[in-house]
Amino acid sequence: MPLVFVGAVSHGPGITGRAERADPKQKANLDSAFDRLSRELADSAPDVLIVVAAEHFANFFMNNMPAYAMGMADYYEGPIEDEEWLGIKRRRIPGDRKTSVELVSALLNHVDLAYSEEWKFDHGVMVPLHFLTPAFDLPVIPVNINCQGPPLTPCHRAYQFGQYLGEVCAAHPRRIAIVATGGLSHWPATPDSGKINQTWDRDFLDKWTRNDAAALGDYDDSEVYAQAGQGGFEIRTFIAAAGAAQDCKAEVYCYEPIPIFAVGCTVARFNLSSG
Amino acid sequence: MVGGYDLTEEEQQAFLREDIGLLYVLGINGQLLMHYAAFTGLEWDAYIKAMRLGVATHGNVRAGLYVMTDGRGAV
Ligand SMILES: [Fe+2]
Repeated sequence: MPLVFVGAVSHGPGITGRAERADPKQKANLDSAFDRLSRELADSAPDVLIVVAAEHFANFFMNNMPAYAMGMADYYEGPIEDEEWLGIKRRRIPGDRKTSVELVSALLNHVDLAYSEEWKFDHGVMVPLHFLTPAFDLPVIPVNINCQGPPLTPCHRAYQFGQYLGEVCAAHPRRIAIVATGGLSHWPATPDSGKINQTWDRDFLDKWTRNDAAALGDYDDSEVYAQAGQGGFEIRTFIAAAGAAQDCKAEVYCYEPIPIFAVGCTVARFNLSSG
Repeated sequence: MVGGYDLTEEEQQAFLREDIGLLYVLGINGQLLMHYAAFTGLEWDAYIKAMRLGVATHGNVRAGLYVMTDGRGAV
């Protein structure tokens, strides 16, 4: 079954935790883009949703940090953070262990993927689900790309990982959707929180929407750090989504730089018939 | 409790005093520090302010990921 959906969104915890502090017009624009993506995700009738995330030391720490990992559990729980701080109630989210096992097995032909039968979702997964599957009823399979603790997987390998992910999903009988989630430029949780490099973001989105594999794979961490902050390392998830969408092009539904959310809030989707 | 960890005297003291600014300068990752700051009772703006004060008082971050942040921010 071909992939039924590939999208990408931001996940800053401020989007839900500090929702009331954003400029109302920007917030409304972001909300309506999330609503649109949520409807389109539902219309694609997925059996399972893979969230390609860049978690923040919730499950993987510096004592054992996989470059790539996939969840393999019957269910997950989140948020791991304080509910009030994040503005999202803790709950159980259904998984799909059988599909996870099949995808991990297939991916191991190409990538030394770690897996985990225990996984607590942090804001990186919960914020996207809050908007995209607000009933939290669609089975989710989390994927993590280490974007927090360098050394990190190179961006050209994140693209390649996405290609393999897309291929094994396409060869699977279930209807699979993918949503990648990460920042573009941002300096989250530092004194520079709120700084957003819009020029850099728009240049990235130009390359990304055109699915320019060479340009996306060329991003180098020292340059990314200087221009886009440590939060910019999370472009790996967007790049993996581009790999999964192969030659298809994307459309950006929303790019709203919202300082109190600490990121240029992005909602986007690949047109899977454009390749 | 802190004696059981491999911490310098300065790190121990910063932790015991809940000195968020100094902990930031000493190199604690913000993804962890922001939760610790909330745990100590600091709201978001106070957390950002504490880090900026830390940088103003102790100089730029000494270790970890944030050695290049300019501390000026936007909010
Ligand atoms: Fe993040």
